[in-house]
Amino acid sequence: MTPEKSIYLFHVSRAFGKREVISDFSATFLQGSRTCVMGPSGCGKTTLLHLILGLLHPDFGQVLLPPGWRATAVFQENRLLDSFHAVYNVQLACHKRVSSAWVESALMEVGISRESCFLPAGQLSGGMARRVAVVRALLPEGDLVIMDEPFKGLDPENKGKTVDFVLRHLEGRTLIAATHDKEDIRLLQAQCLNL
Amino acid sequence: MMIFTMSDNLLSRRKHLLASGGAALFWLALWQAASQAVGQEILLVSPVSVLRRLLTLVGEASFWGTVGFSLSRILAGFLAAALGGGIGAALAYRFPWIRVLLAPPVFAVKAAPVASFVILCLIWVPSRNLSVVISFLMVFPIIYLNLLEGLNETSRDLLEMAHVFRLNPWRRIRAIYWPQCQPYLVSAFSLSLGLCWKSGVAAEVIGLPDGSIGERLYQAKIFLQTEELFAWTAVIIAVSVLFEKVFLLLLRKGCGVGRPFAWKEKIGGSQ
Repeated sequence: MTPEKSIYLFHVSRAFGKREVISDFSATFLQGSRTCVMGPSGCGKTTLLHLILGLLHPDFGQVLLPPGWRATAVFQENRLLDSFHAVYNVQLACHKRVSSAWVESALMEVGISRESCFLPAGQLSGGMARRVAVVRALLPEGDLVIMDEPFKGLDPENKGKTVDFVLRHLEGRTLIAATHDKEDIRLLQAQCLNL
Repeated sequence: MMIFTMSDNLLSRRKHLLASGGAALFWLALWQAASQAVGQEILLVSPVSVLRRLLTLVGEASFWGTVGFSLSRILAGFLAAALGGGIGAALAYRFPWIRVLLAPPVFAVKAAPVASFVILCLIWVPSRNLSVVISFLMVFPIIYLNLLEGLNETSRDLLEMAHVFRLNPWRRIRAIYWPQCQPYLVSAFSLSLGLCWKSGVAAEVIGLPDGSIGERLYQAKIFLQTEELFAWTAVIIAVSVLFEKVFLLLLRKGCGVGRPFAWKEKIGGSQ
């Protein structure tokens, strides 16, 4: 774990209107570390992830990211392209050219059938779309994987397959996952950060 | 309770066509009856006379030249407006100051009567090319405003996803903007294809360029040739409808517009 490639948050605050969601928050995410951000609904988990992803800017404080870093994400909503099939959704996120057969086999690892791989994402069930979103975050190269409630809506069997897939494909990347489920800390072999 | 819709359950496609044909026949019969009741072809020509004149016209060598003259100019104006409107909307979406800059002329073109533009343009443009300018002016705001609305309605969530995954501009256009803008474009093209014909021919009627449909309409009016007037109007309607169908078909086939799902879209080959 090299501190040069770590993520630092210094006294970060972020408000929406008059409501301050994150107040004077500091944290360090070392390269290759796995962290589960825990806390009740509305405590600012998603806001924190969006600050790290650069989708939000802090009102005060600093978010320091390693130069030339690359992140991938599982958003709270799946944010798939509904009119394109699952394989295309994953291929699109990959910077290198990847074969549909390779993506298809990755999707099948998380329990998605071959037929469903070529269904438009808008026609997939909530659980299937969630797993496609997880695969999309793990297959492209990157330095950081951000996951916002990644196993939401998955039954135990598919959750197990998806967790295995995440662990197999992390390959030393930094993982920051927001979750409500304490079991996720154990499954992802992560440390806990309470907000 | 079961709910039936006319198009899905009560009328099959064939029945729908039959019903449409029946409705058309009803109005033609009414027109024929009215013409016979009036008894003066100069006041209300009969559909049979119009059809007879139309068949004679189609056989004349000058007919296709006249249609080609108007078609090429109106089509040129339409294509230039489609291109200009598309580029303008993309720039206005990317740079808000361009949107502000374009707002007054777009509003003026939208609100002003076609005749005002025709007379104004006649000062600057030779009458031969008047229909190019007028069809451009009529189509540009429709394409520009519709496309801009489509772009503004693009999902913010998907754009954030594209930002995080660092999708290049081409992939953003193909996967996010293009599917989003398709319905807006189809609607804009449907509307503007009819309008460019109406305005283009109206411009020709005022500008009277030699060998245009507008000139033939004007001559028919001057010489009180009612059947000629109706026949040319029928030609305009037919060409306009054909133009619209062919263009939208090409758009669907060539660009995937209107296809609900990209089932087998692929990126790249091997890993």
